[in-house]
Amino acid sequence: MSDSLFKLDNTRVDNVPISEDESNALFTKLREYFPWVKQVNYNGISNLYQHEILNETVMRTCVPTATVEAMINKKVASAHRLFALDSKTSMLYVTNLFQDENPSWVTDEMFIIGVTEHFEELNRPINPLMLSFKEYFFVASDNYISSYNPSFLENKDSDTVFSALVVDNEIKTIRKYTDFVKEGNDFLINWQSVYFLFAKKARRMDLIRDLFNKDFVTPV
Amino acid sequence: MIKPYTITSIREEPNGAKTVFFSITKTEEKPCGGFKITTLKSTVYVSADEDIDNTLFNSLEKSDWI
Repeated sequence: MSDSLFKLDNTRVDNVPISEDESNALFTKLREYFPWVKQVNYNGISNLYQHEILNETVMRTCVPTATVEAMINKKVASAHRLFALDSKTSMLYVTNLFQDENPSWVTDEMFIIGVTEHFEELNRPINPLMLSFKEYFFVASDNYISSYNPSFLENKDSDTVFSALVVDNEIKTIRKYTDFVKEGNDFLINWQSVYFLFAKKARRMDLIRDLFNKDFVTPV
Repeated sequence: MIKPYTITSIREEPNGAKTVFFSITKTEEKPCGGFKITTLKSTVYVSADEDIDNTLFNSLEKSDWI
């Protein structure tokens, strides 16, 4: 899976598929800090960026879901490993369909579609802050998004989703995700199809009905 | 704490050692697209004075499964 992440300050972070030559240099960089990383075990890697919660330089890799599903014994929508270069720590995290009660910070102008679950791994040091937050993926009205960053509405299309990094039930920052620009069809193309697929697998058609009851959601 | 492998059973040996049955899955992207998913089901012998996780982890790391 590849994507482009936009931080609230408009910094852009590309998550590059391993088919791109650029990924080789990024893995070389990552292995300077984490010699145990094997490129063959991943299908994407990001540029370096400053993490909003950890406050250190990080790189994010895409882990094939089948590998992780065997480790945690459940299906996931996506899986990643986040590497913090300064502290030489890492964590594995997955994104699941959001099926819980809405947290108190959710307004009528947003709908949560996914949430991350974070894991400490055997023999891999972790920064405790990595377990202190969750990332909620959501869609929202233009009004809600522009209250954070009006430029997030530029080039917004059917593959654009947003996320909130949440600590102690409080939104710390907002991100925008869209398809990696060099790619053709990819996972993030048309998030509605992806959401439909996972909600159907979970036998939660009620979530799809709730989604389309939102006036800011137009079926693609 | 999650582990990159799943221990399915452990057999106690008469000398205090253990035979550990485990599985591990890895996924590789194929050059022309798609993925190759491989699951290894095997055993590792852990002597009485060794830690199961350390022995298994080191063994799989050396053999490029991790």
